[in-house]
Amino acid sequence: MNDSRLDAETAERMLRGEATGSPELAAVLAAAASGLAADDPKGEEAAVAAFREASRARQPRARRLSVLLSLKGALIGLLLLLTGGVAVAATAQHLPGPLGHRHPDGDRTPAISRTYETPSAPRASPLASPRASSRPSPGRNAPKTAHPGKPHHTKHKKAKKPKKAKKNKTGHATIPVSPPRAGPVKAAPGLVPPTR
Amino acid sequence: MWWVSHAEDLDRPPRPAGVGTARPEDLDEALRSARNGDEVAFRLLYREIQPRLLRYVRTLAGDEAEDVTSEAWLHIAKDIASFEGDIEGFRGWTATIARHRALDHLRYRKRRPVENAPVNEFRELPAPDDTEKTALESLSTHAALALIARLPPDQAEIIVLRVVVGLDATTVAKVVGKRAGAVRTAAHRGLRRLEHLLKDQEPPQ
Repeated sequence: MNDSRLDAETAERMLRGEATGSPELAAVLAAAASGLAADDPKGEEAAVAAFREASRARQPRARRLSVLLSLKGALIGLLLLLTGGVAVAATAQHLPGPLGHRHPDGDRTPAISRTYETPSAPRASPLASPRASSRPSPGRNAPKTAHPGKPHHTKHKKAKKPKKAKKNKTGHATIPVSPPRAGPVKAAPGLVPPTR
Repeated sequence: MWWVSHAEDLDRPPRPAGVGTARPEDLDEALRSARNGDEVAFRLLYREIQPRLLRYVRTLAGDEAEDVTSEAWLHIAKDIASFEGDIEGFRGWTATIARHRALDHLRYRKRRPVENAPVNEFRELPAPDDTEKTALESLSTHAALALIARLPPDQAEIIVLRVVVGLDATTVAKVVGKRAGAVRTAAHRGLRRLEHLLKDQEPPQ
């Protein structure tokens, strides 16, 4: 053991592949690491097949997730649409019920103040074109529920305006202007019963 | 993560002959592509890594090495997309996976009645007289590995991880679950022992 001239530093350098130290030892190490060519097509194909399968398995999962997310978005949009419709009906018709009892000029809850942006939406009733009109949904849902194939015509732009209005009105406690009746009144019978 | 390469190893000298048939930059690029599902890149990595893994696993699991590395590659193929690090880290990661598979195999075999006793195929290879005393200039890879396999198992494993798999001491330490200092000491002892074996002397303790 003591006759070995191999010190720690030389050993480390040999392990890193430097040709140093005893030539015999260096030859052994070099031989151990030589001829490293892959020569097993079977093993390679099996590994590649597993790799391919794993890659495939990963992609559909991502796709499925996005479908699920857009479905969820659509559902939220629909829910907001329906609840919005109730609120519209409640203010427009002064229906009896928890919302209808409130005085329009009294202290206003968000539920009521939320209502007047919907009536100011396009003349078309919510039933006729639910997507384009009254949607008090927050911006987060907008891109998901807005179906890509949908043409951007003027109606759509009109529908966006009320959203801006909403922000202003919910912020300040303004006295509600009596909403235009024509649309919402028509809408009420259709929208109210299912949610009750 | 641990397999992210360490700054201290950045200035490593080139690998031994045979190690690094592809340039590290190319392999880093291949690794990135393979993580994104590029099959050709994955093949390149396989061809670079598999021969080394096979030699390494032979020091652990002998003639079961091919089964072990096949299993290891199924694991690697499945998880490569979530691997983070460069090619050096990848070498360490794959070695760790292969090691775990090899140990699983050994554990399983221990529970069964021992028929094929030799764990290490190199240990039943030709006697030292046949290998060491033949001309060193024509020393075959097989003979060299057989010689290394005559070392105590922990020293043989560490030397193969360093020289054949091409890992630095820090990464080897993580693969075998020891401290880097212990790995360096074991490798140093192993090399000195090899020197003695080559001189046909009584190996040091």
